[in-house]
Amino acid sequence: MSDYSFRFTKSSKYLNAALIIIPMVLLFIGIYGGLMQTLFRAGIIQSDPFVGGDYYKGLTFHGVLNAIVFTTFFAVALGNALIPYSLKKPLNTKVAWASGILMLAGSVLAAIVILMGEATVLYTFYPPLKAHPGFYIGLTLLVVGSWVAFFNWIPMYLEWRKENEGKKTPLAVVGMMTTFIIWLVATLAVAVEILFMLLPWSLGLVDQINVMLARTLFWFFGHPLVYFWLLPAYVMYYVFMPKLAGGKLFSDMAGRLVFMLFIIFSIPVGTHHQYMDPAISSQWKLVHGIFTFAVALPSLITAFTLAASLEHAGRKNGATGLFDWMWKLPYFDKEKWFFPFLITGLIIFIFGGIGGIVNASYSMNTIVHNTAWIPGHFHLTVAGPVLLAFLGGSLYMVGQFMGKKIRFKGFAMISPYIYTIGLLIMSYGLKVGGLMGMPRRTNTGASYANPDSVLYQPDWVAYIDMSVIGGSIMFIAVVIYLVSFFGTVFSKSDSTEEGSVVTFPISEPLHDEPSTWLRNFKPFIIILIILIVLSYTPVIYDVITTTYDTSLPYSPNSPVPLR
Amino acid sequence: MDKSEKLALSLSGLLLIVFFGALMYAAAAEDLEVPTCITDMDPFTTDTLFQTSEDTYELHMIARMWAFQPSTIRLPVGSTVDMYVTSQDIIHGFKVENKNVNLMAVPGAINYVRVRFNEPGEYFFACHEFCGAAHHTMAGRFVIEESVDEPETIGG
Amino acid sequence: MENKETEHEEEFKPKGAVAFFILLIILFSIIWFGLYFEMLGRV
Repeated sequence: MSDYSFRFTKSSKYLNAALIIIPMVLLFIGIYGGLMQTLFRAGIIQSDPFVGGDYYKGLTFHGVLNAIVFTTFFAVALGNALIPYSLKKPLNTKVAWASGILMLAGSVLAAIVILMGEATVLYTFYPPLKAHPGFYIGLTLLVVGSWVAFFNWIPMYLEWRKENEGKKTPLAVVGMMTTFIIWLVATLAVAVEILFMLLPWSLGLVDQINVMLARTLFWFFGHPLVYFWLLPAYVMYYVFMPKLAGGKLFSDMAGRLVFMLFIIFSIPVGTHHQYMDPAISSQWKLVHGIFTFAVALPSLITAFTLAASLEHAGRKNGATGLFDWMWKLPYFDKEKWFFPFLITGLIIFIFGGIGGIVNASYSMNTIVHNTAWIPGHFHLTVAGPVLLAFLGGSLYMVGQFMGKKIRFKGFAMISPYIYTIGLLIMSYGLKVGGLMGMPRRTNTGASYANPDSVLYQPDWVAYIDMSVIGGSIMFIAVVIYLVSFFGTVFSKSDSTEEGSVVTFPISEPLHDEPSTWLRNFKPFIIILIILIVLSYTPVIYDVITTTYDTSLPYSPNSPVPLR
Repeated sequence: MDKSEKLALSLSGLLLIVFFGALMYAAAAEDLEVPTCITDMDPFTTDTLFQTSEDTYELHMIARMWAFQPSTIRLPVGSTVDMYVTSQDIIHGFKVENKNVNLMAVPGAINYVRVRFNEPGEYFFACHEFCGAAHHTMAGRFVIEESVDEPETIGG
Repeated sequence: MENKETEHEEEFKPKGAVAFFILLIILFSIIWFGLYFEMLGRV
């Protein structure tokens, strides 16, 4: 089967290129912030040399720009690319542009107030720390913009289903729709938190806020958020990777089952982030813990299916024996520079996966909660497989949509390996430090890592230094990647007739079972809603009945409330 | 579904069930639980430490920007502490070194954990939820000694 | 050629992937129980 090409309109190509290039700039600012944080934590710097401000301001823009802005833009861009491509239907570019502009306006607004130091509340923005209203409005616009993109795809999907009765929806479309179904349901809770609680309170229309309720609504959104990050990477693993490796997807049904399981289980799990919180009964925390274990299943199935697909590719490339296939994959093939971005992410995800199960493990959460273990863990997920797949996907799409050949392919190919080495060093330092009690989100350089401080903790210093070394290597790897990315963006266009169409490496399935019961989202969405009601009603009831006071807003700079 | 897929799926399920069983064992045998709703405690605004039985103490702790009240708690070896924690301003939290104590201090709610100190030594804890500009200076410790004449708290 | 490939695919059994997956499960158990006994040691 030859690669299928699709002719995008000029306008949608410009849009998709913009949706990738602009967040790449924001991502770089965020990554710069990440590097500065490792230096702050080790006590090497006391204020940001370029942007100004303290560790916590840097931590806020690192988290918001990398984990929320960049990821959302990329997910939208991937959907705008794969859904028209796989369904062979043109994108409604007016709506798509409106979505992009809303997202951009919101992100820029949020970024400006953060960089002005008016929203040093970190990316979780827990009240009663109060941010400038522009921060909340900016985030709302970003989320609404992403909803608009999703609403733009729904009619395309429904129309295709009507025209192709009895046919399976392409797996890429199932994956992208799953991503945004989860995103829509999850962001409804944070929209309630922002629009009915934080924004009026920040504007002064309401005096007080129930902190536990806001926190619970945040985590209703906060955990499915990680699947919103992860699922576009899963789409690329299932759809692109087997073909890039030279094989086929081992099981099409496994992919469909995985996405449906994510719809069911990715939301009624948020309270496992609140195991150590007051005002929620332990038995409901346990229920969320059980569902979190359930949501580990689709990832374990994915690990097996992808290994089997890679084994298939390896054997086609001539492998024999039990493990020989692992060495017969295109790790260092410049022409297949996309493959390293995906395989390194999968290797990292072995550690990210078990770390996540540890975090979800109920009482075991006491040894890791809010320690440096947590950023150690989530850098192995969102800043590992997710970031690497997104970087690879960004480079691929920018080449396709701008009709340009990828420049400096060797740089692109090698960057994920360098990044992986840095990431493993940094995360090891954070995780072991965390097990010793080192807190996350803390400017250790000014106290615990400072030999002149009464709070000096000499045992932690080696692990803090590891995160400097690892973080620096990660930063260098990203710079190497950006040489290829911007080298491609600013290269002379070789716009031939061939360059004006777009192609994606879509894998064929090896086992293609009919899996009729996995073809419709509806039953799974209904189960999701039932599980949300069952798991969250008692939690919200506990929070409302057991809290006895509400809170005035605070600035991070003073122990006296703002009014 | 392929045989190998069924095997992988069963192994995954088994792994998670084994983990879950181990956690339930820890809850039953060692009372390792997570914090729950506290409904039998009146809100408090001052910190106290008092003895409730021979080697059991009740501690009311207040977290505020940017100190724990009390910040040092001196107790004899073998003490069991019923810790009640709340916040007077914004969210704080802490994890006691080498102990299964990890609590969020949230304004408007009371958090609780019971902990027993069997070994002498210093058990350090640092605020682990971002609480503003001087968050990194907010810390405290339990000092557990062989013989303590009078259990005491410092910083309040 | 085409036929041969199909045949090869029909009889493809992912033995290596099964072995890898079993090792993965063992690794997960080691890490998880390592931390579990760390917790029990902190009682």
